[in-house]
Amino acid sequence: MIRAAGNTDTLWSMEQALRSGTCSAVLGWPATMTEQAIRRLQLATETGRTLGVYFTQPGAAVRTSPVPYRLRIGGSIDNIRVEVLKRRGGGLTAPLCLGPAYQPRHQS
Amino acid sequence: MPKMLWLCLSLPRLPIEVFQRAGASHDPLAVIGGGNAPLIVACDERAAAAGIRSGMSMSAAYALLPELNARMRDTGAELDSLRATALWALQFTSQVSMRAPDALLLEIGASLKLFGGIDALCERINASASQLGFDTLSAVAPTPLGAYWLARCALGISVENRETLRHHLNRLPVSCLDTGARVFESLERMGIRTIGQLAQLPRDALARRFGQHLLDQLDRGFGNRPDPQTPFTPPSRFSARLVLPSPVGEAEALLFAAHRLVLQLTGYLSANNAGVMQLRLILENEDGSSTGVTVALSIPSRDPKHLLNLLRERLSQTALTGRSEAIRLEAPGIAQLAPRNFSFLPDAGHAREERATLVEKLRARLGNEAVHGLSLFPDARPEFAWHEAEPGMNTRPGPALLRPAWLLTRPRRLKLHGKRPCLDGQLRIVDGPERIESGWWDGRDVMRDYFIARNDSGATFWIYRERASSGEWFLHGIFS
Repeated sequence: MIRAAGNTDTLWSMEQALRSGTCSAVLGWPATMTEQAIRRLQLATETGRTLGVYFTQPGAAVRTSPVPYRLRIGGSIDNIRVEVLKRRGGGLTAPLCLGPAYQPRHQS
Repeated sequence: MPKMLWLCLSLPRLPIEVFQRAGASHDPLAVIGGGNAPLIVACDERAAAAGIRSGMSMSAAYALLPELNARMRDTGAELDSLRATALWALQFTSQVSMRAPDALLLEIGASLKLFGGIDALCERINASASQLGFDTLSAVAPTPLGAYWLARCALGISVENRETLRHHLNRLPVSCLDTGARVFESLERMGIRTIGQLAQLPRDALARRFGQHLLDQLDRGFGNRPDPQTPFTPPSRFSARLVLPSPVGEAEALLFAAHRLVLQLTGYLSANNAGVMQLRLILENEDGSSTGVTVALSIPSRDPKHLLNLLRERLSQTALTGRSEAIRLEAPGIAQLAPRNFSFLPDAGHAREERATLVEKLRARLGNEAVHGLSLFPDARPEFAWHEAEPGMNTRPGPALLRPAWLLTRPRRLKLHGKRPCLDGQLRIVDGPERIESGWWDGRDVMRDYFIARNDSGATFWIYRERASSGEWFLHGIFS
């Protein structure tokens, strides 16, 4: 877990972690991402062969971005809906619905 | 015991390199020596291009190139550099001897197998010496003096047996020998120019005429007489200093010089099969003050790239107050490295080291507190059920409890609609209660009933009701 002081440090840390290839996945919550920053991170992802995920504000979906995959996750706990907004090679599919994440012990 | 084989590493440009290796000088550079009428001892490419040669008088040199930066020869710095190079050379063999002023002798007979033969070893030594900032000439021979002569005459050859060595040495000029000018004059008058011609003279006549010293040299060179060398003994602590060509205030120029010292350090470390745990770079400022930059490592390392990266990050976080005249690198903390077998498949130990490398890099820039791992802590209160831990520490898995992925830093009070809590609509309880009552001993006791609740749009929350007098509802976590 890394607490970076500013957005530059956040992006730098993500890049280092992705590039090192020693992490299974890198999750980041940067405040903003420029297109150039996204490209840098993507390059680092390919160098380190690491899964990189960054979370954006819900409103960001309408903007274009050079990332290869974009997902929107919504729904509720027992019916999680994953929408593929963008993917490499191939058209968009219908939203994926995952089953309940937990089984209630009893309904009230 | 393997056959002794000596590699002589000669540093012909040492007088000028001691001024150059810390960074490029602004003006063409020449080194002068001698008393009242100083002569040029060595000069850099730009000065040489202007026609300046060694042996030229200083006034002649200034006439050719008025902006020439002439520095007095610094034999002390040359000796320091030679000593530093000897220390660095210990990574190739355990026996290194200094031959002042500008050569090293390395016994490489025992190292050949490890480094893959003479050619591979020589190439490696020369290449890493040039990274250190030195041009080198090397030659290999079965006798130390033979190797020294070959290297001094810039014959970069490797000779493995005495017969071939004899053949090569016979053709070298007598000027290789260490003797007085008077002897050279008489040899010149006698028409003797090569060592081969000299060796053919009757031995007793030679000894009578020129002294036993000359005869001894020939015998040692050809290997007819033992020639023990004083081995160089490394200091117990590493510390290296480099004077900068001109005062420097930019981090990049400092790092260029630091790179040279880091390579010296890694040579020293691999000779000791050790890695550095703590590294200190000291900048000696113009005004006499000094700034220290310390890097601490979690796993000992001797990877020059990694060490330099750490120094770079630390240096960029340090406010450089003045300009520095010299830098010093110290390694106060050194630890033995566990021997590692070369493996075809990536091994777990390697991965752990790489991970430590990443953590150090992040910490060097962001500070130690900014990077940490997470561990579970056996406490029933959700907000105390985890701790910050050293990265890489394993934690024992706790009981499988139903907890939301997102826990609020501070619980949020919920509004009531009638008697029921609301959050973006009426909340409906789907699971619970789970009673948590703990912490009376540290003053932050909780008495809560937790529920899983959902609103009309399907968002699922973790909420609780205070069991104390107020009975208020709070939001503590979000499932989705």
